[in-house]
Amino acid sequence: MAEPPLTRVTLLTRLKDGRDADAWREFVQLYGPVVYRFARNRGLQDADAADLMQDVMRSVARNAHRMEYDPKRGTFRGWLYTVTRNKIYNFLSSQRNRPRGTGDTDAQERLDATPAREEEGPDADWEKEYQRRLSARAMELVKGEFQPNTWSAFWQTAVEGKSAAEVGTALKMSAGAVYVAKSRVLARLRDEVQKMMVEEDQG
Amino acid sequence: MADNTTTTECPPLSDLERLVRGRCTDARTACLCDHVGNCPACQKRLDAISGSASGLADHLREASTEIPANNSAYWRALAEAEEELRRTALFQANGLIDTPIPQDELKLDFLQPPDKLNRLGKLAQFDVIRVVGRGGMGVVLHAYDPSLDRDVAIKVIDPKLANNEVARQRFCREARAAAAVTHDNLVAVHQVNEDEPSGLPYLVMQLINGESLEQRIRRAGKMTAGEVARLGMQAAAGLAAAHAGGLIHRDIKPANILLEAPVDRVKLTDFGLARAVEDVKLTRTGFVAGSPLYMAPEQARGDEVSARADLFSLGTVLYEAATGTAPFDAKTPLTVLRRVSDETQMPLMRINPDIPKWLSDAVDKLLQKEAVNRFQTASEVAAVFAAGLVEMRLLSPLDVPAEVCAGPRTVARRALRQPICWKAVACRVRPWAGGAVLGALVIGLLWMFTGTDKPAPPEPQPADPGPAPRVTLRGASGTVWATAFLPDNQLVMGMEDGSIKIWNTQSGELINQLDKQDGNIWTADVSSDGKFLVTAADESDVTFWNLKTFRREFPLAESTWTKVAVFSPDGTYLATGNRSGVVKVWHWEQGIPYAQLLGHRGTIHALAYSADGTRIASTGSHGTIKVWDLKKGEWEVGGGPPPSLELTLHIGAVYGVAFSPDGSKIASAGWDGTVRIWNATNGTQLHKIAAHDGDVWSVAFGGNGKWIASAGSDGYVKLWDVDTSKEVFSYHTGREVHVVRFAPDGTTLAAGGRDGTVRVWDIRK
Repeated sequence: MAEPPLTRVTLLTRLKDGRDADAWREFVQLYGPVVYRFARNRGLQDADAADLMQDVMRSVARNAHRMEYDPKRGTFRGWLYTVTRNKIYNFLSSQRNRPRGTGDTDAQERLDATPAREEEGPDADWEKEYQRRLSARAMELVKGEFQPNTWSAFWQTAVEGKSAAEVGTALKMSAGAVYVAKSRVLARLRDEVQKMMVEEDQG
Repeated sequence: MADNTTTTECPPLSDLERLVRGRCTDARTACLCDHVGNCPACQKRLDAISGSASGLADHLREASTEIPANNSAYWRALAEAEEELRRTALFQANGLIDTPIPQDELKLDFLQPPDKLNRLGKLAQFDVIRVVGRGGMGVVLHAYDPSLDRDVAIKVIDPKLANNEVARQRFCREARAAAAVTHDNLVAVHQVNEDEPSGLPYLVMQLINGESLEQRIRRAGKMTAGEVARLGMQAAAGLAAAHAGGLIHRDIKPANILLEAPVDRVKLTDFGLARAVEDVKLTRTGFVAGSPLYMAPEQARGDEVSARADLFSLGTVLYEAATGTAPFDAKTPLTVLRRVSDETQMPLMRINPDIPKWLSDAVDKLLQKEAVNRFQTASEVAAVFAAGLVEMRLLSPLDVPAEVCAGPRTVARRALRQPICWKAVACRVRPWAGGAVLGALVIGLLWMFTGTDKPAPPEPQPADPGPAPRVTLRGASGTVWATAFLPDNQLVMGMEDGSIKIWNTQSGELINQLDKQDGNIWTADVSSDGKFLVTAADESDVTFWNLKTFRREFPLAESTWTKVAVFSPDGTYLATGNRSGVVKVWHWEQGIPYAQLLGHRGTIHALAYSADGTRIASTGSHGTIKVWDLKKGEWEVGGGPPPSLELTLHIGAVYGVAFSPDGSKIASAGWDGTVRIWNATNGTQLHKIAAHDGDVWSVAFGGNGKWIASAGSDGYVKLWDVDTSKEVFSYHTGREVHVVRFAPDGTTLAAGGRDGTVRVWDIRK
């Protein structure tokens, strides 16, 4: 049976199917780092943030079969944010209740900085971590499509902030070619990121 | 090099777009590159096209500098999460799955085109979501029924079989017969139908979340003695119900036994369908179809089979569950058939010393070559396994399936282990009898722990039963399990035949009778404003009743098998407990589950709210009382906090739990005959009262926390002083008492039970 173009199987549909092991790997690769980074930013230590990430993933697994796309109920990303934030909050509360030497006042401050109530949507920190992760993931996916020179031209100008002339000299390319290389990679990355976001929203 | 005119003049935007997408010829690309290198305006235009202002590059820079160190716990957690998710996901998938299905084997051309995204197609009113599995009969689909808002499994007969008129007739006949039998241990068949456009018959069944026994054994290896015994009891109970409905399975095997998550409830599936396959294959090959590994000798020979063939198959399944290997396994089907007919298996207890003798003997008896030497009925088998489980302390008498008692009494009497059962209505029980539970599914069982064949002599009826009740309300509809006080001196009574009656406790008059429910009314509770009554019955939904109109208001989207339901003190929430050990808290007016409290195993028998509505105490078959503080910590709606206290000193099931009005104490009661009083803050046991001779079914606080009332299977209603744990009141009804309640005034006490009445006292002291 040929698939109509509109019913492209998105990551979340594949997760709901339950039997798609690749879908889980992709999912963990995409969202695991977001949760980990977010937890670190909220002041959790490496080991605690790693445990928390695993815990959040477990939550998703338990609830995967219940996920149904409904725009009224918000995005999947928003839901994941709520789960993550609640777990961080619980963790910090338990730290507060069990003071551990010098960490105590810190934990209290971080707790106070953690919004305890339901908000409109994911906060800016979360959104930024998510965008970073999408960008990095898109990079992993599209890097192979470009010549090494093209990629280097892009990386050194766009990411490392070097001038086109400088990079051109090092790579034996004209400044114009460096500009074009950067634009090509960026455009491709942007498309890939957008595709992933659309997929998630349709999940 | 290209001429200057084309490079100095700015190209049109469309050219730059093509350039970025790599769609220009090499020559044109070279020209444009030269131009862009010298033209800041075009560099800006390129930036705009590629979206360099989108922050993507910034994100990449940040991401590349923030990769966790090589020795970070992050990497370990990431790998573990991946592995864990993969396992959980595969494990959670529906138990009907056998093996991954190659797509080319699937011919789903009988489906109508889908009208929703992400659906495979439509079959009648059902939205087909995915293919769950493929078996000898045809394909199994996971579908959604929009009219009833539920997920179902649909088995569509293989077109090859559908073309055989005999097989097709038989498929429909067997399926209809299966649909007529409902039981907790059978996969419910909702509907048998024929797809009009394709002419294919299909079965609509309950969708089971779990795995098959075949998958379980493959995944986790052999089972423990307790698991095997439980499997045997539940499968036999399911078989007994099916046999009573005239159905023989004919193909009991691990793949047809599903274990429903989370408590591994046994669900038998595919009743009688083997026969339709046989019809086709016989005509084709002249040889019997099916799974010879699990076949009774008479079935392997092609003789006419009786229900006892299923018992042999059950024996092979239990043998495999206990050892990991089918008893007559061999390399070729023919060798298997020979072994089934000629060889005697090694007794289980000799292979695995952990298997108790009774279990080993029971399996040997199931595996007798001659049907006459086996157990004769599935209910007999269920009784033997139930008795074994009770002895292993793995089963409360309250959870013994009804089928245990459905068999001929004479057989049960002869058995060495003698469970004595009473069918709720049919049998009269004497006062000395132990726990007895009534209802469509569960009934009582008395186990003589001494192992003697003689029951203890009946106690003489006390001459004076105790302080006379103010009024005795005679329900005349069987045992009372539920009662509650309503405003205006009214009281509601729920009975085993599904009747719900409302009385005036002053005049003793019957005021109203609500629409009869299906099955025993287990629970009844009234909202604090007195406007709503909630009831739950075995075969009916959790139902709300308007107490002004006495009409059914609406049902809750909760499964049947709810055992207990209580309103929160402010009336906003309803807490329910079911037979799967799940406690849910609902925004009941909206029908939205607000919290799900997981961790119990077995049936939830009792729930209580603290007066301030912040805590819930829950308990059941497993014997642990869990206290949940809903205001503590943060949890996602639909999830719930971990228990804040676990009280574990009861032996066996706990049937009743209550909070003192000030929330400082918890009272509990259960199978071990005790009433226990606990500190509700730290969980220490304050008192243990040997309250009744036999099970204690219910407890309630009264007198503003001064007293605890208890109801026992010894026929007594008793009242205890909380501080001294001394008995201050006692009344003997002569029959089991199942429920005690105090009115909000704390002095009016009601007690109901086996004698079909509710008695009301005014306690003043």
